[in-house]
Amino acid sequence: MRSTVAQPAPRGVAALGLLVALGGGLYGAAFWLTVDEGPSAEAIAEAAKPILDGHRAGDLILVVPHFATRVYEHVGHLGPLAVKAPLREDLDGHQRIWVFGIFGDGEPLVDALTARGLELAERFTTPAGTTVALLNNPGANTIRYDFLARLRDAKVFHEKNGTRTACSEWTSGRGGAGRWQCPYDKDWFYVAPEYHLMGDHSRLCLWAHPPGEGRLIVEYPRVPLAGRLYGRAGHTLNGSLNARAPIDLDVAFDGGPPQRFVFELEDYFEPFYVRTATAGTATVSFAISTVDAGVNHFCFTADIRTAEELAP
Amino acid sequence: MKNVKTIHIVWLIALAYVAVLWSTASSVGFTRDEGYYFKAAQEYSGWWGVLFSSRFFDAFTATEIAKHFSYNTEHPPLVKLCQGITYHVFSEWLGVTSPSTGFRVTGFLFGGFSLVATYLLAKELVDERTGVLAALFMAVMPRYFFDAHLACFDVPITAMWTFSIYMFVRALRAPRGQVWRRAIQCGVVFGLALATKLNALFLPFVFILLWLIEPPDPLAPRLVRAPLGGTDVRLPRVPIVLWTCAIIGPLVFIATWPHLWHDTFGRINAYLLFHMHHEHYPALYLGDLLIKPPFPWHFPVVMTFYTVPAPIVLLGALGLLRALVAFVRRRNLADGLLLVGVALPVFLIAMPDTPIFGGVKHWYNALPALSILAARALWGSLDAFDFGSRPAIAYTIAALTVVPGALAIQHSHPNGIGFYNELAGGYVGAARIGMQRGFWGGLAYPLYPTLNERTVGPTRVFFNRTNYDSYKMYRREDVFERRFHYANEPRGAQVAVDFAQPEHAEQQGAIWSWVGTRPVAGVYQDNVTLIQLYVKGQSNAPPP
Repeated sequence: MRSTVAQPAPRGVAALGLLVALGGGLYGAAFWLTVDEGPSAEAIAEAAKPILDGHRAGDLILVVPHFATRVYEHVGHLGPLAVKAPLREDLDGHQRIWVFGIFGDGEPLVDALTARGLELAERFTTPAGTTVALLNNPGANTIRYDFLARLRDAKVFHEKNGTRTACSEWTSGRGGAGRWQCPYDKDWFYVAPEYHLMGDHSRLCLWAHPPGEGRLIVEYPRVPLAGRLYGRAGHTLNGSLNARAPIDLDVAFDGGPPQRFVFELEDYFEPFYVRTATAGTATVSFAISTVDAGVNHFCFTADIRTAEELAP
Repeated sequence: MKNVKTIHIVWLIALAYVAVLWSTASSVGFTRDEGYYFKAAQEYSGWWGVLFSSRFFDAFTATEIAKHFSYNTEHPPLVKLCQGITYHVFSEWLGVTSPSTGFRVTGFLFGGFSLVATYLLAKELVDERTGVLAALFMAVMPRYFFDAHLACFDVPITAMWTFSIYMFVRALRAPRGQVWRRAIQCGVVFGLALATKLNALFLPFVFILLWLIEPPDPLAPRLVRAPLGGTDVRLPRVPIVLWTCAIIGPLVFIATWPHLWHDTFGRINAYLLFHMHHEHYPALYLGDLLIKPPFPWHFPVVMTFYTVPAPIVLLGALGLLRALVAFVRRRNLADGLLLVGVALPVFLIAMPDTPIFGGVKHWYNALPALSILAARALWGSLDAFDFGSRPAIAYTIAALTVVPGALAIQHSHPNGIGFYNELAGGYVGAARIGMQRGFWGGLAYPLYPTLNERTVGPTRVFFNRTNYDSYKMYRREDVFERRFHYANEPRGAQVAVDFAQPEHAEQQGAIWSWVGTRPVAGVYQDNVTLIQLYVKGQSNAPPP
């Protein structure tokens, strides 16, 4: 029993075959002959100039689409953000927001931001295929106190079974930044500003790995209050994929009852906030704990800001 | 077309393929595994020096074998032995290639041979024109083209897998006078396939299935009169080729691997166990970073759909459906073989407990059957509308199905490892839907020659996914100056390479913390970021 050889097709199937061959061939050829490679390196350099010239401290630079980060070669030192969901960012923490876009992604983002109440300050003339715009944020908050920047002022403890072990050694951490080192598990048991991949972007945040037992407490004295404590926190991508338990973050003022925030494994840079008094000072503590510390890489940022309304 | 002409055409295509691979190889960076295989091939090749010397008998001692074959025992030796030979011939003796290209020539040759093997199988199962078109389809697959440059095993096993099946079918169908000769040939080829890569261990499943589909003798047990009276039950006769594969195959496998000449069974066991507990290769897939099983069953299906040029994958899908219908209607070897030829490699990866293999290369051995199905579907469609009487139109349409792949290769080289087809929207479209952009550390190569101008004095470089053995080969070939040293982590490095691979992206945070946040250069494909380079002192400051 020898097998069949060529298969003459029924007319209907044959027509489909020809359609696939012609359609696929023509479409494929046309696609690769006209594929949009985006702007040239020179065009991107040129388009980045308005940002380089006009950037001020505290400005936010949003880069879209998230996978096209060549512009970082020009503005990477200014902390740009190329994320999948730019509207989920802390827009209210910035007075001015830059948009840099290619592949036609810039304009829709500008439109979305203006729909959120931001005002288009300037749309720059840049090479074809690029979009650069500056928006003012009239509803922006004023940051009064940045916990990350003031880490040196904090006291760090490991609290376990009612006792506190001070993490009081101030040592040099990544990139020369300081860190509060706990006396054991020195590889990971410390608090320090570091860049970590939080979801789809590396962020500068306070590394604060929960201990195997008890709580890691980061306590800031004499924090000026201004209405809100706002922060972002969650698992690093590595922790999100490999850890086994959520993390509890307790925020307390002057030793009062804490406000608890629970960060599930899939939460990577989720916002949290607490209402505070609008004047005076307080000791603010962040307590980090979990029932399973294995690979539970946690990082957070927080600030005190004046704000009447916060983005959801 | 006369047979002699088509085979000549296919050899010409294969030759041209090898020539293109050879001429474009210098722009392809060393992938992670290549570093290991360069080292292994060089070590293995030292054994030839002992074998062909006055120390001939020493070559068989456990000590001498351990000296040359103890490294990289997780993969069989054939390709590495060949790499050692091509390295010595083309780089050391003739001096016509760099050392790395010398090792890679083996891959080019297997790449060309895979086209010929595809043609031969298609010719055996369908006809010659299908074979020619299928060989062309294989030649214009951008990811396959990329991998055919490498000193790795995936393209060689595709060639040997396909050639083994071809030899088996020929042996199964052998006329009486040639049964033994073809069976022995098949046993040897199967043994060489076993010596190429692990995938060949699954060939017996294909062989047995083919026997069951097209048995030379009836399969059903029969009652026959016994020679001395009474009745015997005659069991189905197992074809000789299955016996030769079962006996000669393993013997050839062991014979080609000196490592197995001592403690044979223990070492074969260790080889198999390694792969049963293989590490997982994470992959970004439709926005999800997959790091542990179970993998989505559709992973290899979707990846094939998005990485094989559109006309080929669509015609292949049509051909697959037609083969399925035809096989259900009437069991036959050609359809059965082509179905299983596509389905088995994909199925093995799709199984939920299979260690995660992120790259499409792990089921490349499905591509020849897919190409044959695609080519058969096209010719079948053309025949149905009687284009046979207008060959110019038929050949034009056939050529049109090859063009997108050829253009895509031209567009994607040397970044073909992260290629996505026009159905995915190319590199940009794939990045939008959250697909892996690259892996194995080779994409950073264009940046390495520029290190010489970017820094002065002794410099520690965090090469990240480019491994130490690849670094050593770059150094050996003077890609960068000798003052560059390999750093295992960003801490303390003056230069760091960041790969756009989320599974290793924790390194980006360390690079940003230690070196700076502004890349000074990068590798981009259609403006999709693949690699970025950071230099201390420059990356935390504005551009000059």
